[in-house]
Amino acid sequence: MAALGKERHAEIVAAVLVVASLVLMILPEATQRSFARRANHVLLLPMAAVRSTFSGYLQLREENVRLHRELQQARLELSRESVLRSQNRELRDLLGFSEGQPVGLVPARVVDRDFATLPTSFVLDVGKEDGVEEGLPVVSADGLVGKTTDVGPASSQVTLYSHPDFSASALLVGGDHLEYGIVRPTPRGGLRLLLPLRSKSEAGDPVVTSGYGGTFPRGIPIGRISRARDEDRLGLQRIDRLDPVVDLGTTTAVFVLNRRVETTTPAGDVLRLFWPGYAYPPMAGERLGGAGDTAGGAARDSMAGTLRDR
Amino acid sequence: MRSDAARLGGVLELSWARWIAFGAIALLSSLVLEGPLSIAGAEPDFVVILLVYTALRGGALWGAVFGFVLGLFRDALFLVDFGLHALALTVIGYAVGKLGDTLYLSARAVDGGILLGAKLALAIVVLAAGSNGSWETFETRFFWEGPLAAIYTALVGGVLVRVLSRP
Repeated sequence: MAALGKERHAEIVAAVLVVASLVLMILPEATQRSFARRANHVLLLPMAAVRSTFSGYLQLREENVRLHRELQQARLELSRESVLRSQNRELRDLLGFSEGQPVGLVPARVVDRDFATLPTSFVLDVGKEDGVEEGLPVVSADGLVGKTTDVGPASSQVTLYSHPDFSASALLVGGDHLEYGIVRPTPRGGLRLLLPLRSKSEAGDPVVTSGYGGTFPRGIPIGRISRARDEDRLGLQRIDRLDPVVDLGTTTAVFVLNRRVETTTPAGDVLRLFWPGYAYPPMAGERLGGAGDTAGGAARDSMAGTLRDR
Repeated sequence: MRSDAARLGGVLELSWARWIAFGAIALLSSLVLEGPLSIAGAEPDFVVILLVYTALRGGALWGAVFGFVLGLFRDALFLVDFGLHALALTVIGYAVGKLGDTLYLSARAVDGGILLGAKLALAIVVLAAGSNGSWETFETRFFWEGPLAAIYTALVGGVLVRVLSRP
């Protein structure tokens, strides 16, 4: 009986609520909106703060996930950089260069070369993205290799000293004198040094870049005289034969001298790169034969001796 | 009328404390979780979950009252067709409560089935009112949203009750 009364009670309440709902539905729109806003204030505003806090928490979670992902990415890049630095160090060690050189060095691997018996060009795995530009000197630990001629974003072509178009202003470090000349390749892969007719070069004299011409800084070893006065040219010029210090056939890793890295680096610093302990770079046209010129003479002997020892 | 001996599980097992926790979670979830839990456009309806389990536990009277209040709550959210949700949920609450009172068996699967049916019924009422007499609109929206949302709601409701009824 009580249950029956309860059921009846439920039916009455449900009917009243249905009628109330219908009344709400047929009310004018303005009144409906008014009711809705009031209900909104009463029912929803107290929960707005909770909702806002929870939404903020969700946003923080998303941000946390994003930051975590970025951190992982940064760690990965750091790891890559560490590997690159390690490779760089290995290359430097391989070539006998120590850290903290006075000029900017961009280590590079030879990734391609022309397949002639004597190579005349290399392709390196560094380019503009690594700071390499056209016309930069390319060296190995022994001395001059060539210069960059065609530079892409991630690779560079090097015109080697053996290329028919190659030439460089050179400095002969003689027994008691310095002389300027031009170095050019021979068809057989050697080098020849074009000197004034009155030159007193002798076999074994070292030849380095002179620093003139704007491409090669002073002091990069090129080779040494193998045969002095190999031929005369119209009685006006003598041509000496050179043995290059760099064997292009076995060169697999090189450095590009990036002058832009340290624009204030004087040319003499390149001398220190190849001639550690050599304090006084010889200058153009200097005569070192004087008895009182002990510093210049010692420097010249040191440089010549170092080159001979190589 | 369901007897205690016939109970095989379901919302009737929850203590009052857990029942209040269930209500609070469902109400808050209806405000903040429905959007984030959306899958392929279908959202779990926490208001229906709360109403159905309240009606199953409290009977037709509580079902009707809760349906009306929750309907107003939903109408206040949408600000259109004011009273529509109140009407639909009052009827659904009463019907579910009545059904619960006459069912011999109370099991989670049965509760889930009732939940699914309630969500489908609400979708029919709301979409019928919202499509302004256009059968095509109703048909497209109902078959696109209705069944998936009903299944999703039944699953979420079942999981919620199961989690809260753990010892």
